[in-house]
Amino acid sequence: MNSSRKVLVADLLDGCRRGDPKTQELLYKVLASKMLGVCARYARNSYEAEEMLQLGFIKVFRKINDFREEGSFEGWIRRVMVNTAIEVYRKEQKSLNVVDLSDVHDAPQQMFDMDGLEVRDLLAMVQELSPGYRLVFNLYAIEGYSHKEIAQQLGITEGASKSQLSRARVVLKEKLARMEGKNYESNVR
Amino acid sequence: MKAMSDKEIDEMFRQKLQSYEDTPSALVWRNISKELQPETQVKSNTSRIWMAAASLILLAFIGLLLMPGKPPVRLQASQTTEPKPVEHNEVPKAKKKKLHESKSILFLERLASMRIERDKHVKDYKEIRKAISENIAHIAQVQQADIQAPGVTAAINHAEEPQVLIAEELSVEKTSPGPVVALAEQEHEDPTVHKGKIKSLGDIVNFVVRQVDPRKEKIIEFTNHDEGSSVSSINLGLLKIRTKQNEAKLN
Repeated sequence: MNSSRKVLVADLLDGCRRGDPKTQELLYKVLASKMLGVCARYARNSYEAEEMLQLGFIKVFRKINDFREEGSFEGWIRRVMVNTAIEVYRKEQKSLNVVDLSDVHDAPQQMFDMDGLEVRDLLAMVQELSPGYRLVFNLYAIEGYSHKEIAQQLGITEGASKSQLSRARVVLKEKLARMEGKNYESNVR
Repeated sequence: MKAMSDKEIDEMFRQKLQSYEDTPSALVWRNISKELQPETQVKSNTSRIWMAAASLILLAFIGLLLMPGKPPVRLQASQTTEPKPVEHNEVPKAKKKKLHESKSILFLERLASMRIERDKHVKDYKEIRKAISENIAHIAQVQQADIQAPGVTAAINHAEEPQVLIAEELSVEKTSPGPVVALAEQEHEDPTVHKGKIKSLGDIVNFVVRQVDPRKEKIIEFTNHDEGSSVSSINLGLLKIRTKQNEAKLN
């Protein structure tokens, strides 16, 4: 099982290096859902997430020869997606248009019993964070970057990274509290 | 509601969201493949350039191989492997060199003489045609004279003169001069194939190969047919390829 998977990855890598369109499509199909999951955390909504996914995969195929096979192929692709998210954020920071996010996104869904719904709610909470908070929280809490790495990647100080993270946590805690309250109400009724 | 520590919050989001997956719309892949397409086209272009370069190199190589004036490519055992006394070594070498030089000069001379020969033939044909047309005119005159005047014999005599001229010229034609004879001697090996003048590219290649390759079965040979000329046999020493018609000729 494990060896056959390795062979598959090697074949995919080989085909993509040759620029074979069929292999590229196969690689996309294998990893698109997982990578959209990554992009979704960095985006405001599903449209933005898909845009990031698109940009990320184009980068993967164009820079396939940069992959040195030091880590896993999937891990490398995931990093490409995260870097794409960082780039999108930096570009947004440069252009000064500010959009009120609460209008763009639907209100969090009520959760009853489904675990899946809970995940969607948590995702919605992250997506509702302001871009800076969202990015730092994702990089630190989920990707496992250190504040030093985040500071380097985003061109900010470590202190700024830390304060962004703690503010992001405060917002998330408030949202969680509100959600628990709603849950309580719906359970009582 | 219990208070959560920072670590607990991070951990909860990490656990739930790290494995989160969602299916993208079909549009995403369509956009990606559209974006990647120009690149693949460029790649195919470069491969075409490589193909062209490779074929040019191949052509140049074949040209060098068949170039006249070079020592012939002999696939037989060479004479130099035989042990020879040292004193005799120098003389044959010089001779050999001269032979190569004279051979290349001879080749050029032949080419030149063939061209002169062709011009001569054209000239001859023109003269013959002129003579014939004159002759016909005279015949008409003779006929006219027959009807009109008594001085018929004089006119006939007049008409006979060009006829003699034609006969003379025809005899010149038959006894073709030196260079052609020399060529005919070369062609003696396989008279069925090598007769005639150069009419096509195949003939030119055959001519050059004949100068370079002394074997009965040449390294490459072309045969003319209605649609031009094509390779009829290849002889690479160990590997010999021949078309059926050529095989029949050889046997």
